[in-house]
Amino acid sequence: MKRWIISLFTFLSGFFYILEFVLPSHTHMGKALQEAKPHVGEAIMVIAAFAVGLGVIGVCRHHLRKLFLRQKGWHNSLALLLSMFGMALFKIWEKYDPPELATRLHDLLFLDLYNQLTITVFSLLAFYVASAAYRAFRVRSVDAGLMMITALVVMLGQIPLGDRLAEWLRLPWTLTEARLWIMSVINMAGQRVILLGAYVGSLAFGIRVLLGLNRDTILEKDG
Amino acid sequence: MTDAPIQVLLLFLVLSVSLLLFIYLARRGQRIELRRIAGLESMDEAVGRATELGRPVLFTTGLEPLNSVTTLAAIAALTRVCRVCAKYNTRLIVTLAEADVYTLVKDACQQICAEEGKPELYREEDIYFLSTMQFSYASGTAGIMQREQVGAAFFFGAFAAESLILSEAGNQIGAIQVAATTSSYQIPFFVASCDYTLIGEELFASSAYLTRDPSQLGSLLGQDLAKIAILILVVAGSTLATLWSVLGPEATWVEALLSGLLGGVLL
Repeated sequence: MKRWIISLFTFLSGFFYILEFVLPSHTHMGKALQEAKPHVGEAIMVIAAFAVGLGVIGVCRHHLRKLFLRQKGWHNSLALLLSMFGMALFKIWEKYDPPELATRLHDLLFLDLYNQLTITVFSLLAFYVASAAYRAFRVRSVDAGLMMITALVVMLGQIPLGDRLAEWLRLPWTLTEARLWIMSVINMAGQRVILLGAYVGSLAFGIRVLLGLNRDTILEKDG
Repeated sequence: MTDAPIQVLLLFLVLSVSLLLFIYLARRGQRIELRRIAGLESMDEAVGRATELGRPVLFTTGLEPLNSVTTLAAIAALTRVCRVCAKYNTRLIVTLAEADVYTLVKDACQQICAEEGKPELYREEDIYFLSTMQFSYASGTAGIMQREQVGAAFFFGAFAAESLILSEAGNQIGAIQVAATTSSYQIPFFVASCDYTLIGEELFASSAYLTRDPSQLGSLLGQDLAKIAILILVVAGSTLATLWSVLGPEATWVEALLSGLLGGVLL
């Protein structure tokens, strides 16, 4: 019964959007579907909000348990709960009664703390790119060698030194031109093939989900 | 809002009919051979290696919420990994960036452990909803990988700049890593850092490949046929566009054909 209900709702909600997309708006049905679209969207948002609520409850339960049982890393859980509720509290306080203190506390948490931590994590990428590139560009095969030469051309084509080098080597084209050709022809062709496959794959997967054909998922066994 | 051009509707119908036809044929018993996908073959091996090392397995479903097909495909792969972990009595840690995915994944993992006769293996505290914010999620996942010293890591779903943070964190602790994404800009990072990478549509084929369910295998064949149809259209469009640029505006028949093919969208 549970599976049947889930499959029916999945099919109906998916089919609604397909019909709304393909039916011309001047037809009676197309017009009705377009009018209903915002309301269906709102209903979906309400359901999604419940899911977010469940997620927040799950997070609180997980970290409160850790905190009260003094499990390993309980201080991290305390920091998370304080930050989560603190951020929400200061933002709500600021919105309804904007005193300077609430804004300052919110800015302290969001701009001075959260944003800086995000930037720090993002900056780690520079080091990770270097270590990943080192592994990727080790010339162990013809393929790896070709990739390394291509990467070298693309990287040198990004800086003025590359063009100076091409001039000095008397190459018939600048490295900027070579880079643009690699990126807009070879690379773009590869990207489009991947995207085309992914779009068709996602359509096929979507149809399988709509028809309830995807086995080995939560829907497999009837509840 | 502008209506979808008739060409889009026709293409959608052709794709849908070919998919449904092959699903029907596969269900009737038509044998379908799949090429070997190393990344999917390695999933059991990765869990097995983590088990031998006595380390947990980590699975993450990327940044997108439940309404994304990519996330649904990742969850389908997660159910398989969860089943294998339950079979081997291996601890599975799941990190998530969306609350709606968290709710579904929690139920799915609990149900699979129960189905495998090992309900005690399900630990609610091992399913983490970290944050919807990209880098909070990334640093949370990387931290868990380091602290728990995971033996195998699976990155399935849609990823952005955090892909390299996750995969390099796994690389540093020597975890065997399998990634699958449709995010074309992240594929090179995963290729450089992971042991196996599923590219684009291979992610969507994963549940069919792993379960060998006739309906899903049939849809794979249908989608290949659809791709051939699209490639024919691409070749036809490119030829007509080339002809048009060579022959000039006088060649009105080329323009008419090209316009018909594109539905007047680009001309």
